[in-house]
Amino acid sequence: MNRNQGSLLTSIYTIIALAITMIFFFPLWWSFSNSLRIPKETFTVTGVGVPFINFTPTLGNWQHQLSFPEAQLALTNSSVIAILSTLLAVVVGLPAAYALARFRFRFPPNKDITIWFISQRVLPPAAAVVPFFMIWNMLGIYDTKFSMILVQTTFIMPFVIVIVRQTFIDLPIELEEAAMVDGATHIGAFLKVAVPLSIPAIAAASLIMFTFAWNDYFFASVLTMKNFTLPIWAASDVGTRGIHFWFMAVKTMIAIVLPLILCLFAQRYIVRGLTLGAVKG
Amino acid sequence: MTDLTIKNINKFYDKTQVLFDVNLSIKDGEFIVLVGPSGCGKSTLLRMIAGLEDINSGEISLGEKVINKLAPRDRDVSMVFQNYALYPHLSVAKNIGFSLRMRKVEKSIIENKVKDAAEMLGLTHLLSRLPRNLSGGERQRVAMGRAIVRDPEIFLFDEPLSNLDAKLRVMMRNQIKEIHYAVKTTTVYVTHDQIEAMTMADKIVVLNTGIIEQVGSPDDLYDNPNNTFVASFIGSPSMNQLTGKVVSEKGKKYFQAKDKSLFLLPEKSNISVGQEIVFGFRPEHVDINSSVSEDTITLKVKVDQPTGSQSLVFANVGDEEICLDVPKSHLLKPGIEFKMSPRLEHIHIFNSETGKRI
Repeated sequence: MNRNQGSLLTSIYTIIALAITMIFFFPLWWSFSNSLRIPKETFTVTGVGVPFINFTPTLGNWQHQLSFPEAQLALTNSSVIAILSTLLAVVVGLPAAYALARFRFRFPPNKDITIWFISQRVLPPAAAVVPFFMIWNMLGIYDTKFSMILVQTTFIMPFVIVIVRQTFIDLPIELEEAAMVDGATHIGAFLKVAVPLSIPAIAAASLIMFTFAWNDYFFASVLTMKNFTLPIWAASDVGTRGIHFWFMAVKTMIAIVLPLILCLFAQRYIVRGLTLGAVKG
Repeated sequence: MTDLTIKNINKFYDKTQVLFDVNLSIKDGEFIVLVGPSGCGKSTLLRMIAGLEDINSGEISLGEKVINKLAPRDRDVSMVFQNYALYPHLSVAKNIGFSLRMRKVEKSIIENKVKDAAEMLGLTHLLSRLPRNLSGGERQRVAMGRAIVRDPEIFLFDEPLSNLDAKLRVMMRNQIKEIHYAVKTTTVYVTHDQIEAMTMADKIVVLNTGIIEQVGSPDDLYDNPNNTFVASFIGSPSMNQLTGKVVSEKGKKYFQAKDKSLFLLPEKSNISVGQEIVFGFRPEHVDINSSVSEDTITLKVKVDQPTGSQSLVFANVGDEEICLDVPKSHLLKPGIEFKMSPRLEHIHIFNSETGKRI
C-alpha cells in the first residue's frame, strides 16, 4: 500500500469515527440545546438546534430549576456520597488489592478472595437492596448520606481492588524489597513506593467508581426518601401534562457537570491507567 | 566491626529444599562472592541475609547478635538488585537519599551524603534526573550510590552487572572493587559468572543445588578444586575432564582414556592400578609438539577459535571433546594433527564416582 492510499484510508476512518461520535453525542447535544429553549420550542426548533441560529437561547429553565432547594440538596447529596464512597473504597480497597497481589493466603486462597470481591459487583442489586433496607431501618440510618456511602462503597470497591491488584502484581517486587532494605517498614514500602507508582491505575479506578456511585439510581430509589440524589431528582420531572423535557434537560446537564470536570482532570491518568499492565515499563 | 556467621541454614520452598545445611563465616571487610549455576540457591542465601526470605532452620548472626527474626530495615545491610530497583518516581538524588530519609536523618546531612556518594560515582550532573532518563550504566551507579550512602555493615549485591554490556561490565567490576578498597565494608556478591567471581572476590563460595561445594580464594579454587563440579565451573574455558582408568606400563602409572590413549600420571601413592578416575587438566596447561616430553598423544584439530593472541583448539579424545588454549604461533587449523601432553604438575585427578579430588 502506498502512502496516498494509506492517508486516504486514515481520512475515511476519521470521517466514520466522527459520524459515529456525533450519533452518540446527539442526545447530549439535544439536552443542552433544549435546556436553553423556552418550553414550547422543545419540538418546534428546526435544524440541529444551534443557539442564536435556530432559536434565541434563554437561561429561564436553569434559573427556575436552580432556585429549588431540591436541586441543591440533590447536588450536595450526590457529591458527598459519590466522593466519600470513592475515597472510602480507595482507602479500604488499596490495602486489600496489595495484600492480594503480594501475600499468599492459604484459606481461602487469593483467587477465591478476588472472586468474592468481584461477586459483590456481579450480584444483582435487587438481591441486596431489601436486606439493606431492613438493616438500615433497624440501625436507624435509613435515608441518610452515611448509609448510602456504605452501600455505594460496597458495590464500587471491587473496581479498585481488581484494577489496582493487577497493577501491584505488575510492579517489580524488588522496588518494595529495596525500600524495606533501605529502612522502610512493609507499610512504608506500600505507601511510599507501591502506591505512588500505581497512581494512574488508582485514578482510573477512582473515576470509574465515582461514576458508578454518581449514576446509581436503583439503590437511591429504594434506600432514600427525603435525602434523594441527582439521578432520582433528574428523573422526577414527570407532571400531569407529561414529561417536562426542558427541566429534564437542565437536570441532565447539571448531573453531567461534575463527572465531566473530573474526567477532564483525570484524562491523562486514565489513558495511562488503561494501558498499564499491557506494556511493562 | 563485625563478622557475619551463617550456621546450618536450611531453606524450603513448599516441600522443595533449596539450601542444605549451609555454613559460612564471613570476616569483617571481606569481599565474598557466591557463585553457582542458576537455581543453586545463591540468591536465596543472599536474600536471607537481607531479611527478604524466611529462614526455615539455622542461624544468621552479625557479630554476637542473631538476626534471623530482624526486619530487613533493622539489619543494617544495603542491597543492590539485579534490575537495580530504582524508584521510578523519584529523582536520582531522592533515590540515593531514600534510605536516609527513611531513617529520619537531618536534611542538610542527607544533602551532603548524597553529594559525596554522587561524586564518588560520577553522578553529580545527573542528580535531578529521573531513572527512566538514565542509561543502563548510570542506573547501575545510582543503585550503587543508594547502597553506599548509608554506610551499612554489609553490602549485598545480587548479580548487579548481568544487565550491562560486556565493556561496561568490566568497568563496573573495577568501580565496585575500588569502592570496596575505599570503604572496606563487608560485601556479599552473588553472580553466576565465574569471571566476576575470580576477578573480584577475596573468597569465593561455590554453590551447587543448595550445597556449598567449596570455599576458598580464587587462586585456591583454580589450582585445587575439591571436586569435578568446581573444576568445571571455575575457569574459562573450563577444565578438560576425561574418564578412564589407571594402568601401569614400564613401571609408570598412566591414565588410559576410553579410546586407549595414555596420559602419564604424576607419582602419587594413593591411586592404584585399575582404579576408575576422572583425569583433568586445564586448557592452558598443555605442551604442544614439544620435544621434551616423550609421553605425548596425537590429536587432530576439529575446530579452532582464535581469541587474539591465543587460539582455542578443540579436538576429540575418543568421543570426549577437549579444549586447548595454545599460542597462535602453533598454527593449529582444522584437520591438522599435533602432539599434546598435559603438564604433569597441573594434572587433577578425581574419583570418578564421587567426583571428589584424589
